[in-house]
Amino acid sequence: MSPGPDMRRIRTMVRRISRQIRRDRRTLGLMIVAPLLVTFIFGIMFTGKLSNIPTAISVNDQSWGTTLGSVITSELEKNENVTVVHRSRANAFVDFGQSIQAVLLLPTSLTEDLVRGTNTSIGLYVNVSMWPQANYILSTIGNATTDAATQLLGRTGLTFERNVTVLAPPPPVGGSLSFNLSLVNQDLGFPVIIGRVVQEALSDNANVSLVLCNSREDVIASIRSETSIAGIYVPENFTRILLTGGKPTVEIFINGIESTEAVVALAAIQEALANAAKSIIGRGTDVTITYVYGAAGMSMIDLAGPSVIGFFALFFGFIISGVFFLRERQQGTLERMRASPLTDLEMVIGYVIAFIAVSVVQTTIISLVIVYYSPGILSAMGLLIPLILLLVIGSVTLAIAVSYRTKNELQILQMIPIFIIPQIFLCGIFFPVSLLPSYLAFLPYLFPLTYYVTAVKAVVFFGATIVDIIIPIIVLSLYGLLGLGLAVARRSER
Amino acid sequence: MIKAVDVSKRFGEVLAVDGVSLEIPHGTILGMIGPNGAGKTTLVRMMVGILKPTSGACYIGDKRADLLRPEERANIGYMTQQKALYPDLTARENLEFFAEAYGVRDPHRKAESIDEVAKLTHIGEYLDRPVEVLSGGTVQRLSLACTIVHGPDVIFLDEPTVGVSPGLRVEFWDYFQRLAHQGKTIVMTTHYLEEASRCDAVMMIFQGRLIAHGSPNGIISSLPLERTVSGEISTEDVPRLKQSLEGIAANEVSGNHFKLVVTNDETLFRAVRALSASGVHANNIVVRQPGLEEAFAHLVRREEQ
Repeated sequence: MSPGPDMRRIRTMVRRISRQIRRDRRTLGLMIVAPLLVTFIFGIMFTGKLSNIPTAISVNDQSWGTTLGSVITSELEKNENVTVVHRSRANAFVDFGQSIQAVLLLPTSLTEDLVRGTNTSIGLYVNVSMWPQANYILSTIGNATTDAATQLLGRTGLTFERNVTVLAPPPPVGGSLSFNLSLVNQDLGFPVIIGRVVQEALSDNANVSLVLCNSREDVIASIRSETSIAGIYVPENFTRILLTGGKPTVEIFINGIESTEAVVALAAIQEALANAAKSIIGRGTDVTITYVYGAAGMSMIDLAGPSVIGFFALFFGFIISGVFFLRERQQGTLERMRASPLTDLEMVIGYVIAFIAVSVVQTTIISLVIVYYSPGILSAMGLLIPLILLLVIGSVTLAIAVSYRTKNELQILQMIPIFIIPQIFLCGIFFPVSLLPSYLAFLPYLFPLTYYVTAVKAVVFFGATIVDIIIPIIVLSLYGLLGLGLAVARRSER
Repeated sequence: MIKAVDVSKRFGEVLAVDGVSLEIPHGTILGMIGPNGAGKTTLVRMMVGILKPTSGACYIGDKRADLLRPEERANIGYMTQQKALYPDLTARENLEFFAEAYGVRDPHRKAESIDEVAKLTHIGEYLDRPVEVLSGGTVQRLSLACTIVHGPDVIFLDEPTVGVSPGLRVEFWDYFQRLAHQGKTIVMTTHYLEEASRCDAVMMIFQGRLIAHGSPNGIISSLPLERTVSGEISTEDVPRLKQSLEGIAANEVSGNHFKLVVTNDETLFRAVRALSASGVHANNIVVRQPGLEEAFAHLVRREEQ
């Protein structure tokens, strides 16, 4: 029957409550200083030694199928002046000097030695009747091997010795340059899968405990479900690219909220990568690391900040507005307001807006501090502000609903262990929600902070957009509506 | 015109107000008296419209009080039993808040109204101090000022003079009467019966029931309450005194002190006339009329029987 809320009366409410909050210097100071303090403490708190950090790993790396021997072979086969006859080591020299003019022996360790930079030699035996042909054979084989090495490893200037044996020919007269080559290719290529070496190094590291995954998607799922703190995905071309002088990419996934653990796991991963490469190819790696969730160098402050903002918005929204409203009841100003044109809804909206204003100030100050340390967080904060406002709406309205039903300020404070403290522990800031036993798994989802923290993780560390956090938004909106409903619902009269 | 039509209010087992009907015409002051817990505040809250009656209805003008639209509430002032002020705000900020809540938004008009009520209630010099540092009397005056800052035509005052010094109480009555002169209707509850006797009309409420309603004198004279005439006469006049009062009024004489007791004004008048006609010479004559106190005590006794 009553028309919609009157904005001018709401403004009157907001102005009065803001005045009261501004005048209460102690509360005001607390509302600004406490969150900052907690943010900093949070930021430096988790710096102990950690071990057995669950780290998901998926190594799809393949051994390098290509061998230098096969490349040399195909180089030679392309040359129309060369007829390649594949032979085993045992009958390499059959018909040597007759139908076979040259023999090329490629040893088993050819590729590996070359990659490792150790001395390698191939054997070339030439038996022809004239020097020009001998020279031709020498340069052809020489070019083929050098080209193959350059082509294969993407590096020039690779050298290997050639043991050349030329059987002295009689003086030559003309003739064809073509020759038949007996080729013995025993090259085994490069048998090591570097990804596997990385994995072994990690499994030997006490700081991490590996969760083996089959695919990149499994790694991501493992982190999303909070089974793992960090994840590493080594793609199938890792060894090949690394060996051929390219810059392979390793993707490292981090569940940023558990950042201390993430930092330890990250360090272990990087160490394993560097060591593996160094021990195998004798030089440092140049690995591109993609941080899928969160960015490198993200400090705990950007992880803690948004969560702390949300928590304090909830906490102060609840406690202070609850006490304020209770006082209105006790000192009789509520009675006076109810006799005035102010409606219940206008009063509640006035409260909500005043406390939203407080939260905005709070959030701005804390955000400025966080952004000073980590500018990257700014865009995420933009997305989180609507969530914080929803949290404040729910919190303030619920506080009003509660303070209608409480007798004194102590009873408001009694709500802290009932409503506030469980939220801190269950919301997923301190430990993953998934660690609860299944029969208690529903518990965190009763509290609004859980949804907020879920959204914070998604936005800050998983780079979520507004679409990805639509469920927390919906739930927090419903929570706000519930609070509003309870706050203006008919109450039993005293 | 404010009206209550057979209003009752039940809180669980307790019937706080039990079938009260009354009418309060424009420009009058109604005093509501009754002991603590009689249902005065409950009745006032229903009349203000912030409490819904269990049965019956209260009206302000021709509108039901509990169904008034926000704008229609702007015409009502309600001073609660508690101070109902924001202690952390200054007197002026309190006045501003309530003025604005009641729709006085024009800054010029608002400042004017505040000045006006501050002058009326003598709080001008305290306007810019926080309420928490003000003395009890000043707070009470401010509370009244907040009630009338928006110039309501209907004013409900729930025990406005409780805890107020006698001097300030006189001052308050001065305000009330001035407001009534301006055509405002005032409904007030009070413990002080001598205060109620200054009202245009009084209603007595006991255990939720209306036990009397009318002008103070009307109520008193309608009840068989003791009026006494006492004085001193010389001992030789005693027989003449007794003779002249024979059949008119009971009397007692001890020594040279006499006292006669009647239960209505007409008999009192006859007794006084007979006394003067008898030629008895009396000194230190005191005529004692009953007050609301006696009326109330009488009604309560009757109610309890």
